[in-house]
Amino acid sequence: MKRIYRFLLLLTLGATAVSCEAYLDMTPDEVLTVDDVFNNRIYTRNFLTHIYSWTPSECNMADDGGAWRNPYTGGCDEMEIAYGAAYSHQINNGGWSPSDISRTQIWPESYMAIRKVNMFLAKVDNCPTSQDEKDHWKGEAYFLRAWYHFLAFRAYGPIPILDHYLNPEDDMLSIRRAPADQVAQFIADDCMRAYELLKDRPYVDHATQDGDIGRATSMAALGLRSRVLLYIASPLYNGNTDMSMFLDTDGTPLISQVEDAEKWKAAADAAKLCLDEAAATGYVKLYDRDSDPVTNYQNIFNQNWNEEILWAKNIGTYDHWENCANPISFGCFSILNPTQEMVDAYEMSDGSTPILGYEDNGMTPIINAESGYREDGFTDTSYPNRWEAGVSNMYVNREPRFYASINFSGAIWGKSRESNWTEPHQLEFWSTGVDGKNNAGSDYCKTGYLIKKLIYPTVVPFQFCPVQQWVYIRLGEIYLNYAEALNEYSGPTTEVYDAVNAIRNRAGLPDLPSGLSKEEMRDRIKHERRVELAFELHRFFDVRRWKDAENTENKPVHSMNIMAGTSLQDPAFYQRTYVEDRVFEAPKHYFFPVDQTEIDKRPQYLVQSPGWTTPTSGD
Amino acid sequence: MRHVLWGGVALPWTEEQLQKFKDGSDPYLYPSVDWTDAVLKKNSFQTMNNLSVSGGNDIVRYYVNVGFSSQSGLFKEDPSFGFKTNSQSQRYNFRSNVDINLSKNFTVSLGLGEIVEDRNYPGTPANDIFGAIKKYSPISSPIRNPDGSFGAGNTSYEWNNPYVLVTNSGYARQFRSTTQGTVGARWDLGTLITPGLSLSGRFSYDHYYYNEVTRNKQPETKKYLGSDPDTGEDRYTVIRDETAMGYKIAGNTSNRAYYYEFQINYNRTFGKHTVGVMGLFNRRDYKDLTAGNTTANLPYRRQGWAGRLQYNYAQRYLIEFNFGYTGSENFAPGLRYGFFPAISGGWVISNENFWGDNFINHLKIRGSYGLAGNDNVGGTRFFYMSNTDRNANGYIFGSGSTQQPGMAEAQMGSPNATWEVSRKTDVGIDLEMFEGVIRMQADYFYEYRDGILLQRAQIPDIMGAPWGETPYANLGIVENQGFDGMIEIKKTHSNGLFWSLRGNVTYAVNKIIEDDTAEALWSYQNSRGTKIGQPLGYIALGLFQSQEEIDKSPKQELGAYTVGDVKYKDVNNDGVINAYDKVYLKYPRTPEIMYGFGGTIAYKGFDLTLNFVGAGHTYTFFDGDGMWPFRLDYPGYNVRREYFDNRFIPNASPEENAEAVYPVAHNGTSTNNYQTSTLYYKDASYIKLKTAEFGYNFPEEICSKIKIEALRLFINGNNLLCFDKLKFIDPESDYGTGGYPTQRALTFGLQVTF
Repeated sequence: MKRIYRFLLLLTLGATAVSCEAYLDMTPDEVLTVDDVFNNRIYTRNFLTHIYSWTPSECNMADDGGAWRNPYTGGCDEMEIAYGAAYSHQINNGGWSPSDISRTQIWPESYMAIRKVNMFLAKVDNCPTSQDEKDHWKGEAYFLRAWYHFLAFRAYGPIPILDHYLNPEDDMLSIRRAPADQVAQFIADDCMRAYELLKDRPYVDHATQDGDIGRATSMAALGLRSRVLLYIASPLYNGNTDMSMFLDTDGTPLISQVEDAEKWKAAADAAKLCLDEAAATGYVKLYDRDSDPVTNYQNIFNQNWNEEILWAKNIGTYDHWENCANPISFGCFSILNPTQEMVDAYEMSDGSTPILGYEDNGMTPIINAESGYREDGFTDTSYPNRWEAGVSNMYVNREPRFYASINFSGAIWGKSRESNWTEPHQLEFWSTGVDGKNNAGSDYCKTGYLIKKLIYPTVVPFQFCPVQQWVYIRLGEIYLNYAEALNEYSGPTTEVYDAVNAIRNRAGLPDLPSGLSKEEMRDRIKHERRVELAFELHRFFDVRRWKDAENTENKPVHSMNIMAGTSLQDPAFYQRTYVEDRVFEAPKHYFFPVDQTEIDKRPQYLVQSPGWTTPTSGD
Repeated sequence: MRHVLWGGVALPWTEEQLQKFKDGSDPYLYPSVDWTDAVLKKNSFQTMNNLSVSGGNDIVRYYVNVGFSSQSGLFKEDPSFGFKTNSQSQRYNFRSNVDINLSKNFTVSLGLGEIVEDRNYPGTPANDIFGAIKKYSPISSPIRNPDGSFGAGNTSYEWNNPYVLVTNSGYARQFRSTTQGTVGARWDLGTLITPGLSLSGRFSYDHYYYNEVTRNKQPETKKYLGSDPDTGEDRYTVIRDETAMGYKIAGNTSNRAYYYEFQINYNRTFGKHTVGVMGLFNRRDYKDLTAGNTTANLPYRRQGWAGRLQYNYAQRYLIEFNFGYTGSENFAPGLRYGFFPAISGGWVISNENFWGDNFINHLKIRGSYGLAGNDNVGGTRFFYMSNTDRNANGYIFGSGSTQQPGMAEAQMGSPNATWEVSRKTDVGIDLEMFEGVIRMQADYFYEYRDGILLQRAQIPDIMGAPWGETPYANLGIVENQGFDGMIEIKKTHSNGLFWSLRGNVTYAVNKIIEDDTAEALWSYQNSRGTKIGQPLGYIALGLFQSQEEIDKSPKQELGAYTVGDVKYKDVNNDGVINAYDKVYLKYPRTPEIMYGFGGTIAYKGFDLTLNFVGAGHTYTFFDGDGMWPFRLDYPGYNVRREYFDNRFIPNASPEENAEAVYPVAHNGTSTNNYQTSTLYYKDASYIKLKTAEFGYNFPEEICSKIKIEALRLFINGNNLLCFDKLKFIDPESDYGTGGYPTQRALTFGLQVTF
């Protein structure tokens, strides 16, 4: 008996000792390592798909952080955002700093995306699929690598270039910022690689390849290349001795110190290549389908995947940004508010300039009497799809792009909520109007204007939102890139005129006057970009690369007097009113500050952007 | 003058309109609503009932307990809504333990317990309600408009006023159930093999289930615009349309755990030698049955062996050796097991022959040194493995709105990670005097934690680690030391008066020795040498009183600032205030000193017990909503009284503003003023009268007459008094009323024992 018990005892102890190691092998049944992904065609494709997801939703102009980043539109003289927590306020009041720049996530997220691209490029050759498909995927990946570098480059200028992915044990502390010239060249080279690999897909044919819409194409690559080479040829980067102090820790200048006119040539050639290739496709061209230039201009952005688009994102039925752009009476936030300065920039319908400048107070306009522009009184006339009888004379006889881009008091926009979305709504931004300050909470129309361009007019707030696109690069920009680069290289030649006029004529405006000097032409092109490319994330970078920002971004912005007005024709509302001072300190604000914690990890290798607190010594 | 708020922008109201807000003559257009009062009750009720029975004989012993408690919350209800919306909980529990002697040497035991709870809540979660009270301005809207509809505003957080959220947004019903079962057996091998030897085993099973059904409702809310000057009819803007009551399973989670252990014990005394041996094997397997992904759904497993050897000589010299050999699934094969031995010894001086009759009747000196392991880092599992995210964000290709699936690198594996080890040393003394009247205990401890699992902090962002999550490594070192003490004095007098006093204190200070952070440029910013959780912030010097003061002060690069804004100290004297001027502030949030004291006095059936608790060396930040007015543009967000009474007022007299503590109000965000700084950093030490109970035990004669064993009447209270330096919030809460407040409870009770 005793023995049996002893035996039982041993048995129990023995059983517990068995398979102890296996007990802890509680790993997921199908662990996929990154290498496993590339052994499967579908997974590899999904990996690439995910890389696309990091391209920003720039439509979110009011919100900072994460993949929702666009502090640029509200952060320049185009717009004021009424939402107090938008990062653009930090940029505008000069209060941004290396310790809060992480709110934008531009730097870390660009590199998260770049890591994924590099991983994809390193491993895609293992994937069991056709060479043809691999080549397409690689082409897209090269484009995306260029694109994500560009997203960091446009904010930070000289940035570290990463053409491979890093393992935790690699030496990464010593990776430096590369000189801006090298960054631009790297981006341009990747674009050319993408172009070569995607040559058989210059654009996505809607009829036969619907499922590929939104993928990078060779035309997208050429468009991005044109933009980056234009940037690097510009005064900010090209022999900019104001940036002579922007040195790497080893003394290498990060901004070229000797002006090189050939960079303009390279930029002009890049734009020309893009335009020529577009023509060769027989499909990609300026959008010109509607006889009414107002509708036509709107539809560049509202007709999805049209022939002018080079690179865009399908943002689905995401409607938050639409709500930011729609008025209070629709139950919306009404916070994307173009400045009075932006409104003033639109020409008259005959191409004349309504406002020549401002008096010393920065607010009172110097009106060009010859243009017929008036700020007093109200009109008896009306013009379908442009203005209604009774609106302020300020909004009469302006160029078509004004009516396609700006929602102003008295303009017809959408359908009113009061009529259950059946009757046209006339906007009332004066204080007691249904869209006015008096009826708003802390979200309100701050300038008396709302953005109209880019916004889909078919949206019914909180009820219906169509599938939307967000355009990153379109052919219209390339025309202006070409004109600018060529004018800088060889002066206002016929080609320069033709390129600018193509854009103006399409917009319903007459040709530029002939006989302009190179400088006059430069100003005309700058103006054309400001208007034609408004709210498309060009202005913020354009004024910087032109080194104009210290003038354009360093003064107050203005609005209508939203605190006043009881009716459409109450003059009290139409008083120009100070909104806020804008701060731009040179050279500090030309480049974004690198997050302090990133600098702290390796101050001996990573330099801060100029002007942003680089302590010369510790204690 | 006072109505000029900032930058020359005037308030949008005339004097006449402001007067209407003040006198309440037009409460619809010019409302002034105390939202706290509108939605919260002053009192609520709770009941608790407990019944337990125990008994048995030589073969079977049993214990049965049944309980019921119910508690209702603080929210007001709207009788016209027709549904219960106030928070309420009803809790039932029962438990039964049975021990059976199968034979003289073999006992089996079975324990079963169950807790069932039903709860009700308003359709809006409590945090959102208290958040709304903080944000929703008193002048935004009335509770109800003249036509009876609910008042609202245009901004999203004003779509529903707090009263709507509390009383008319529907309700949520929660159900929770916890089941516990234990079965065990003990086999005494004393007669079979050798005296003092026994074998035991235990298996337990826990199951938890949680279910929540929400029935949300959006009533119509409107903004009242006044009456039309022509027609005299009231005008409204509809803010939210009414929706039918929804139905949603908002929560459905469940988990279970198995645990089993085998133990062998040997305890025997040979003359003056006492020997104890214990061996243990255990396993735990916890599974989240409704986890959202396959990794989290896998059982969490742990297993280990432990052993103990004890020896003492004549209860004078004690020595003990312990070990644990534990395996963790979190590490790669080969690195899974950790061996954690410990040794301790004691000398009971009072048992020595030379001690004799002494007023100190017990005196013991103790010491120990041992290792302990940790394999757990905040929910991350299997961090030795690299893996991919199969449901990574996708992207829309094509002209529709369907996303294509995405896949991405997820966790970067840390194949070399293993146990972090802490080495603990403890020296202590136990003392008892006057035959138990005074008891004392004191300990000094020192702990050195090494190989702490940290995410690599020096990896720069340009590596692009997925979501910034860098891999783990055993890199951290922290030391922790302190003192622990307890004293108790109790005495019963011959006349039946009993009194006792108790006190305890723990004082612990830690120090980071290594945390893999970069060497700071300025040595005072090195995190090495600081305490865990010690905040890094600016030193606020007060508020700028004039433009001249701004002009002659160092430039602050923390955002735009003006007169009335926070002025910071230029710590490194480089002429600018920037991130390099942050310093480590005194104390972290976790108190370094925790103490408690209390006492009981009893006489002739009456007794009174008081328990105080306290904390010291703890600071909190009192900032955020309510202290940062109008951060999303004026007039959004409420303002705390503390801010309002102590704020800087533009154009007020210098004398008035000299008293101001908080910066001037801005229209929108002011990063200069929102910096982590000493301005909002407040001493949160406190002493609280945590519980007090006064009771009466009826004499036995009365009890026996009504055939019960004991009868007690009592009144007790929780959170009765608080002495602190903050004054305006509970010193244990952060950032004001973040959520449901601590309730002061008074309970009247009757306890009957049969």
